[in-house]
Amino acid sequence: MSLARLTRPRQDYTYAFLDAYAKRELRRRILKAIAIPGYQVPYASREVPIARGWGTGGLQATLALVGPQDVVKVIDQGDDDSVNAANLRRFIARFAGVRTTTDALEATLIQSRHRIPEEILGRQQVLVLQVPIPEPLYRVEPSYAQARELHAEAEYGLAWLDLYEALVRYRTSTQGADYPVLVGGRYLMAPSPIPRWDTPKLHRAEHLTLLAAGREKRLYAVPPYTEVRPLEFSDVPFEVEDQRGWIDEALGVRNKFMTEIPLPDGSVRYRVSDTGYARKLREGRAPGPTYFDDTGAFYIAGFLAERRKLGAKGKSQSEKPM
Amino acid sequence: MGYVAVRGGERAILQAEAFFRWLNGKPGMEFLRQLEVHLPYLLDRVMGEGSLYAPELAAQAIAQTGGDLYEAVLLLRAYRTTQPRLAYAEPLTPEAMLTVRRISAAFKDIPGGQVLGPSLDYSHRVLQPEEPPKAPAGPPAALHFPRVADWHRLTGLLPIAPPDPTPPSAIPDLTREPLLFPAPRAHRLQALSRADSGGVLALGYADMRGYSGAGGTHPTVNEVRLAYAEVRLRHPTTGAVFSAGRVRYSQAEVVTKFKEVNGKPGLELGFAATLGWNEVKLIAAAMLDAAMNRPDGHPAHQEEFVLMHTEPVEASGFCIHYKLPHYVTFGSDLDALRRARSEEAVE
Amino acid sequence: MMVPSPQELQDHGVFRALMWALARPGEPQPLVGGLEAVGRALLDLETRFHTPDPALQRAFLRLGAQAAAPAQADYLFLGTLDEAALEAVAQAPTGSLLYPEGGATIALVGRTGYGPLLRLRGPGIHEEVLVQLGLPPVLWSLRAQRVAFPLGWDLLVLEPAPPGWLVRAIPRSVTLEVV
Repeated sequence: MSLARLTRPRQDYTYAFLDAYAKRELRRRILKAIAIPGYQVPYASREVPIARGWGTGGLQATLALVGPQDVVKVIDQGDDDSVNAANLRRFIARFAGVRTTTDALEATLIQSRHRIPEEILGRQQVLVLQVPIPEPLYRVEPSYAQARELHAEAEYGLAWLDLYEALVRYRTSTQGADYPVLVGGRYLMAPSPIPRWDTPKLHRAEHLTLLAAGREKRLYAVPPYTEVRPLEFSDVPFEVEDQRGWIDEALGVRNKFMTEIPLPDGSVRYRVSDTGYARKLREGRAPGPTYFDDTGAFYIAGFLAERRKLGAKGKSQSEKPM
Repeated sequence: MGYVAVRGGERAILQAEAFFRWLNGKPGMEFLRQLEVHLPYLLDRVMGEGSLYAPELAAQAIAQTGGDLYEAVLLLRAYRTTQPRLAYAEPLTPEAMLTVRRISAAFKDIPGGQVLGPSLDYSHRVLQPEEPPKAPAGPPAALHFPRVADWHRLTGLLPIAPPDPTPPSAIPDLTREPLLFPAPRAHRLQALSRADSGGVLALGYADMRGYSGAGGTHPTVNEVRLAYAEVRLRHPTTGAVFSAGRVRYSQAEVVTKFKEVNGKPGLELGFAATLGWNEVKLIAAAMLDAAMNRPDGHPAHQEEFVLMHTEPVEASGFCIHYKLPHYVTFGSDLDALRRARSEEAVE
Repeated sequence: MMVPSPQELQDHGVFRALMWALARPGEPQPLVGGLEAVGRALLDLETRFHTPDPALQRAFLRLGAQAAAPAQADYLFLGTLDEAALEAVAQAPTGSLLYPEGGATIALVGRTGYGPLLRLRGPGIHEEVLVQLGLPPVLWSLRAQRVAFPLGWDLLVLEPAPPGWLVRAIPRSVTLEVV
């Protein structure tokens, strides 16, 4: 009998940083969230060595889920190399000993701030979205306690009114990212500040999506094959961002979500935001099938309304004379 | 070369941290000891907000962050979550504490007397002061004082609350549960105890000035107490109670008038306590404790507003998170804005 | 290099199996152990449980979890569904509209290929799932009475599959029909 056989190598932290109680509490809450799609489950949300507001919720969810066999991808604004994503990835790799990747299809677990990758995620994958403001009603009801009552009764009139007023005033919805959705026909949900481009990807997905707000201490879930419908009036359908004329010249790509890079002469360059996808193209590796194909059609036919016709200058125009 | 376009994001963050450390130098053990000795109020603030009484660690946190208090508090809180919960201490009784400072604004004199203790309250705020002249010492003050609030209870102005039978292990714990509203009293007091000193002061001040239409709560400081409290534990096998040491502890009580007590107008008590000594925060917090029961809509009178927005780690973290790239959200918002501007939307 | 302990690895495996089971109702997921392994992964001093099984009771108390009556339990571990177990199910909490997560998690032992044929539809299910779980029809009528989304309890149906077990879940979000 040797001391070496009785002991384990010294580890100053538990596996995946969180202590057993924190992990169990998170796991119990996550299981309930999956059972009640779209409902914000309150949880303890202990402090971790990352500042609040910087992804502590997403990080806690990842740490509760991760095991040695996982392959983890972390992105921020779609970019693996973003300093914030790099920092979180470093933390996860350090405390969970996992392999990391930039390939969205190779990852078993993707933690993301504000984007869903372009390639269609599959049945063994979990997407963890970082959420700053979990309450979709916050603009019309600032008190979370009061908002809870509205969710209890599915009393979403204020949200509809908010949309209606924007339509009356601006003749279009003013909601950019974080577009509110109705999950399973029951709970209004904030999908996190993903662009509208990404919102449809939650609908009847193959993968599991978990959303976690560390600072506000709420987590929620969208299981696979769940109805996720953006709030819209039947005669004013939901529309994703209009980037139809945009080309990422470096890649020769259209119809994937792009960001604008302003140039000193006032003009603009477009770059595909999903750097993992861009990297595959640059390296000559075939990406997987994407949610939006190269013509901009969404992979679930009929889910998104027909877009208005594209005008001569690449800007959308109404067909009716002004 | 953009903020995100930097290749090797990981290299950049390592360099950023190295730069910070190089700029601030590496404090040695002697410096940390000096911090503990000479800047106890700084440590107290960080320990109180960090919910962790550990002067050596607080000194290290302050030094490691170059004195950035929000970062120091986050360090302590993050460290705290890694520590196992071993036991629950016996409840503290203020009368039993070794109390060095105890004053009341409600009465000229009180049982036990007004004891100034160590205080700069009546000093001249002059940089590089002279040593105050040595006055001959009188008889030493007592170390224990009865509660002023107990006198109010004897005269019927405050209700007598029966002792709470809840075992310490069953008390709601804000560090392990989310804060939901209306909050149990334990959560409210814990939240105030670890609240941001500046935030509590701002909201408390708003109430003190009566900026609420209802004229504020017009409180009187019933008692402020600075003490050393014994951390008393029960031995797991013998059950004997023993002291694990002392912590600096402070509490403040305020009273407001015209609350119903047993059918007659009486006093309402606002209370706040924290680890370490932090009078400014506690007086403001005790006032907010009383003010949060008001039915009107003033922010300082709403529990959800006060407690959510005085959380130092959440507030400072969310504030600085605005430095993170938001260009995807911004791009999406620009798209919506352009559409609205083009007036080509809904007919 | 961070390495999980054997217990951590087991708890992790159990959690991942339960996660996928709830995310894909009716689909079996492999488990290393049975009811005890599930309890070990989820219970501690912050939870209340109910079980009629004395061995499980002892094991769970040792984890620091609190034993409770069925109406106050967050987790119920019921073996075969006898009268008493069905009564426990009838009393198990279903949450409130303000806090639906208060609804219990009920772990049972079933047997595929026996009992009423069930048609499951809803979140997590592509079109529909047809399955026999070997559980008595009275359970399903109880479910029809007690479970009305978002209120209700969430079922974990375990089955021995040597050398391990299988688990299938029926969360409250599922619409269940006895065919």
